[in-house]
Amino acid sequence: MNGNGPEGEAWAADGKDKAMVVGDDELKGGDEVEKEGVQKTEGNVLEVEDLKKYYKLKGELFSKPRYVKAIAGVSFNIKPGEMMGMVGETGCGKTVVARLIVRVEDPTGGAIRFHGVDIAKMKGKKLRQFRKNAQMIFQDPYASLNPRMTVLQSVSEPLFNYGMRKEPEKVYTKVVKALEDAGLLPVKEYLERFPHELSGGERQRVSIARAIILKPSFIIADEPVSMLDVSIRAGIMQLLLSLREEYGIACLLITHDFSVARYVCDNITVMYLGRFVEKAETEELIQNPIHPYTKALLQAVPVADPTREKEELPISGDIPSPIDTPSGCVFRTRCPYAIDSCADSMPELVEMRPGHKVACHRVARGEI
Amino acid sequence: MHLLEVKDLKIHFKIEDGWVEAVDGVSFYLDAGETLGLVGESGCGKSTTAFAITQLLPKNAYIKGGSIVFKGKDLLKYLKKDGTIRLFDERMRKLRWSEISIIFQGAMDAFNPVYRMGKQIEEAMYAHPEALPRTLGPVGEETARRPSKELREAVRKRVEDLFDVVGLPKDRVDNYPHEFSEGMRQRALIAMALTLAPSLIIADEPTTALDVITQYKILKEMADIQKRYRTSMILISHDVSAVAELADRMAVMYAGRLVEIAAPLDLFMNPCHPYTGGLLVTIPTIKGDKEAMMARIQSMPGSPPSLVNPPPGCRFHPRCPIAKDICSKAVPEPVEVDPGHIVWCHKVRTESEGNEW
Ligand SMILES: Nc1ncnc2c1ncn2[C@@H]1O[C@H](COP(=O)(O)OP(=O)(O)OP(=O)(O)O)[C@@H](O)[C@H]1O
Ligand SMILES: Nc1ncnc2c1ncn2[C@@H]1O[C@H](COP(=O)(O)OP(=O)(O)OP(=O)(O)O)[C@@H](O)[C@H]1O
Ligand code: SF4
Ligand SMILES: [Mg+2]
Ligand SMILES: [Mg+2]
Repeated sequence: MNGNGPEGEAWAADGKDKAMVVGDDELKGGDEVEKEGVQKTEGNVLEVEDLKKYYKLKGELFSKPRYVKAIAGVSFNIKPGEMMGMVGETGCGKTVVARLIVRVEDPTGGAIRFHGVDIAKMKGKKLRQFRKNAQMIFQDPYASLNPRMTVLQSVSEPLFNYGMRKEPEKVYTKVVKALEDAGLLPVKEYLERFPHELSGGERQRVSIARAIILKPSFIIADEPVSMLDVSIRAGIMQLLLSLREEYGIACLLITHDFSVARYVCDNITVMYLGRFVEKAETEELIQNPIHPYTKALLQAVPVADPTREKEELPISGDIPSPIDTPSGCVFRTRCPYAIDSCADSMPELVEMRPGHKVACHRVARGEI
Repeated sequence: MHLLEVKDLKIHFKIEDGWVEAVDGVSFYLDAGETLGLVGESGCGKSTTAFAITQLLPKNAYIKGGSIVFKGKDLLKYLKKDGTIRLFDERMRKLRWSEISIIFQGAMDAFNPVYRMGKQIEEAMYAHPEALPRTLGPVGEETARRPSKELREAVRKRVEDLFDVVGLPKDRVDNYPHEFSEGMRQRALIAMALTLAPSLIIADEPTTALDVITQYKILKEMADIQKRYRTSMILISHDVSAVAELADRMAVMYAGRLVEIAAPLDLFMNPCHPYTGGLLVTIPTIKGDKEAMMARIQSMPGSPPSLVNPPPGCRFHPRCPIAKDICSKAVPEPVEVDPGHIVWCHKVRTESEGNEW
């Protein structure tokens, strides 16, 4: 990545969406990071269409190649300022979706448009802009921080990459602010430490600071608070909400914690084995889940009450291997309501109540 | 005799401009077949305590005092003079995995990226021939240096069975670590910790990367294994509700020290330390009013103190709503308020002596 100096150009390259640069008083300066400010678009920040990702597995020589069908066709849009939550069992494909969106990997099929522009076609300056505006907080803070960089270096790196090389004091101030926002207090005690000198939750906060420091227009947060306790977690959730208030940041929040999703997300999408099975506005989904899988998920949420008898889960067994996915509805092998015909075809997402979509044959027919 | 007894353990990290007093006087015990839940805010010293027991502390860690007695042997006896530990003590290597195994917090870190998952677990088994008979039966008695076909098959089968136990598809045994999702790696790590049927498993945030269904299953599975082999377990987490479902006793840690130990029921029904009380109120729920939940979550003011310059006396006093003068002067001594329910707090102590606070 190279190319520096001021770039005033905004998104919406194909003219479909009108993008505008929202000035930011505090950010007046002469470099790339500052001048550009934060953009708000009228159209969608992100459009994902029929996204697919298959991984080829190394097998025996001459045997038929086998594939992990990590993502089997998902579509969604995210509007400016929207907080979309994504939940689902481990291994169902959440992280792969995220990696495809930030272009760490290329999809097997489908399209991803960022502010109307196909990210697969981005090159040079466009790509650079994209990398700055779409930030990802990676799931594993043990693997995602450079072990040879101190906290100060890690968090200032994005600023240096985007043109603030000549203003070390400003960088320093921004780094301290970002770390404060991320709740790593007292900041000064951490700046010179390396990742291995931090606890799990502390690393997570460094990753968060790194992602917000460029004031991106879109953040993908992959389990950003999984290692944090409630009080710090609340601070981070508040931070995401205030970034939205102030800068209209949109966010795709991947989490297995419904209480986190409930706190920050406008809507929640439930994923199962590479597909979406239910989608609705947050409270609606949590209070009135329809898909049998979502119901089971919500029932499994631990409650802080040791006196309560733990009820058995309505579903048993494990998520099937994405190598040989079941025919028809992917959930049928574990679904308590499955009947023979569920194996015939893949159910589509159908709107069952206003804004509440469910992919289940029997729900669609009104049988359950 | 307890299986494990930790007494007044102090571990400080040397950093550029001073010391991080990460663990500062922690004492607890653990009996065979028992599960101790260790909970507390991020950075309060949970992992450091675990690393001390498994002697995997980093180079800048100094044991400033205390003892860790496991099956009657003091694990800290082999300290170097300057307080650091001999990292590659052969005796400790033998203990690790076969007697004490640890499920690390960062699952990616724990695997070697260039070897297949199953292979790494098999290697751990071959590296501990002394533990093979216990898990494989008679086949395990032959020398593992040149494993026979039979032994190799038995080891392989054990790995596949363990994949089953933790709910991983068997057809993924030969995958590489990066081909797994985060939660799958976490489960592989749990499988690895179980391979040699150790007498103590330390699980550091074993389910944080997992969704609620998998979490439910894994915790249940771990409880089963524990019953079957009478394994003891230290379950570390910031998630109080998850730990409460499995633990026989819970230890609440704050800023490098314990503040309360009690059975889950006692802890929830009768939390005595003001921090525990605060911690329990802030547990989020998905039931009930959303606004009320938000208000509750934010009800604990302030943040944990610096461990480089920790507050004197009770480390919780700057945030404590009922603190008095003495709290900033003296470190509270433990009081047993009920059998097995121990609290480190001046108020509780004062009241237990029949005086008013
Ligand atoms: N590089 C890869 N090669 C082969 N398979 C892969 C690769 N990356 C991911 N997968 C597989 O794709 C599926 C989805 O993985 P993904 O990491 O997206 O899960 P996830 O939903 O994020 O789960 P978790 O909650 O555990 O993080 C899994 O079965 C995983 O093993
Ligand atoms: N190698 C090190 N050098 C200096 N400080 C360290 C080192 N390792 C840990 N620390 C500090 O010691 C304290 C305790 O860390 P520890 O990893 O035990 O916390 P934890 O309770 O496990 O937290 P988390 O829940 O976030 O994982 C933290 O403040 C951390 O910054
Ligand atoms: S010792 Fe004092 S400061 Fe500490 S928790 Fe008890 S009352 Fe609060
Ligand atoms: Mg993931
Ligand atoms: Mg830890």
